[in-house]
Amino acid sequence: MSEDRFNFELVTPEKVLVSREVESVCIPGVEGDMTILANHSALATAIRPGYLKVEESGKSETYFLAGGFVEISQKEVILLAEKAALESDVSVEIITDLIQKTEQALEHASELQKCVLAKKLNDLKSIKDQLQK
Amino acid sequence: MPNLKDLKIRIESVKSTRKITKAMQMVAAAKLRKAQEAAEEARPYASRMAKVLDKLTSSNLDTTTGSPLLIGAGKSEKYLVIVATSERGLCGAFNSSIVRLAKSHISNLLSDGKSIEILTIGKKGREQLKREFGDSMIDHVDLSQIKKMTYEEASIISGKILEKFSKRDFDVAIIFYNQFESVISQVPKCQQLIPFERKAETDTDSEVEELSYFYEPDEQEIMEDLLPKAITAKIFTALLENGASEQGARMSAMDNATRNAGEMIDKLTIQFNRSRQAAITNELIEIISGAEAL
Repeated sequence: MSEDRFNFELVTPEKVLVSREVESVCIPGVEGDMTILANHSALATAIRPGYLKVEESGKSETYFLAGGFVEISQKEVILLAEKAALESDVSVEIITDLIQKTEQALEHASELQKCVLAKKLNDLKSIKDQLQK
Repeated sequence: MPNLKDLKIRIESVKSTRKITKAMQMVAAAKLRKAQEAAEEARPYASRMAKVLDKLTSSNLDTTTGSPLLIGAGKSEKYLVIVATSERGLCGAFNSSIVRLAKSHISNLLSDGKSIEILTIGKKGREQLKREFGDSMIDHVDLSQIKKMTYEEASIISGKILEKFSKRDFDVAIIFYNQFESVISQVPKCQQLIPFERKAETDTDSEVEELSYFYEPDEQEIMEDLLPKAITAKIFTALLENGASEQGARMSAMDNATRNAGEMIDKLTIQFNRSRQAAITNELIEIISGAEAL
């Protein structure tokens, strides 16, 4: 493995979407976006709905993520996403569907979850607005 | 000895049965490939999830304030038994082996004085369990409308379970399903869902690395977020394994049936030919003895 690259995996329940060496990934963390380069310190964070950017040798790919979790260690970065798709495949319908599901979940959620879900809903709505423009 | 016409009818009927079983076998083979792929593609997610949780929990397991999903409800009196089976029959011992395992577990639990509730997934399991444990059945998940198992379906099921848990309807949840080993072998398995079962800590050398994690937002929130997802992932993989096992079991069952039908046809054909020969010989004897009498 060359110095400035690291192993990145994007895993969804249905399949492994990405598993290769990349130069950097830009992750929509719950506390703000962050770009990960090689040799990042160990970190575990939840993900808000948003876009993930994967860069390698000048090329970049953007994926839509509907929440999940990322684990960053010295060796590798593993992103567990509940739902992920290439940016080009995302449509307003998919987002609307997700918003509906989140709203349903919000109705009978515990106090602790409510706060998380409300945030998620906001993020999804702003993504929808962007898409419609 | 049955007469020629009866034999002919029987041979025809076995032949058409063979056609059906052969067709079912081929359909199952095609479906099996898809189901197997789906199950295999889902495995990384579940295993990564388990790994991450293992790391998180082993470095900071607090038995007093941790999430009840992880440490349990503090007692184990009420059990929720989830039995995942198929919607359709004609798949060998697939359903009955899950049900048998579930039944023996349930009777063990009952004799230990625990109370149980049963949630069935798939029609066949419900039918078989209804006779004995009809009163304990609380819910049923119908899969007949679902063509392809998705993560969303699993999260609906896990949502139901988690809601019951938050109301403290049960203390421990276990799921029964068939693990897909190969086309000819499917192993019925029992897995504990709640409280979350951690792997035994065998490797201590990786601990140094684990302690140096930063958490965003904080550990509590991450756990709260991650544990339900891990349970959903477990249910999802269980259902996919079950789906692949079902097709595998059906394929080998139908393969057996096709072979048996073939053997039966051969036997009947021999019998048919013998009795036809016997009839002809009989007629000849009659003609010859008739001619001699003249």
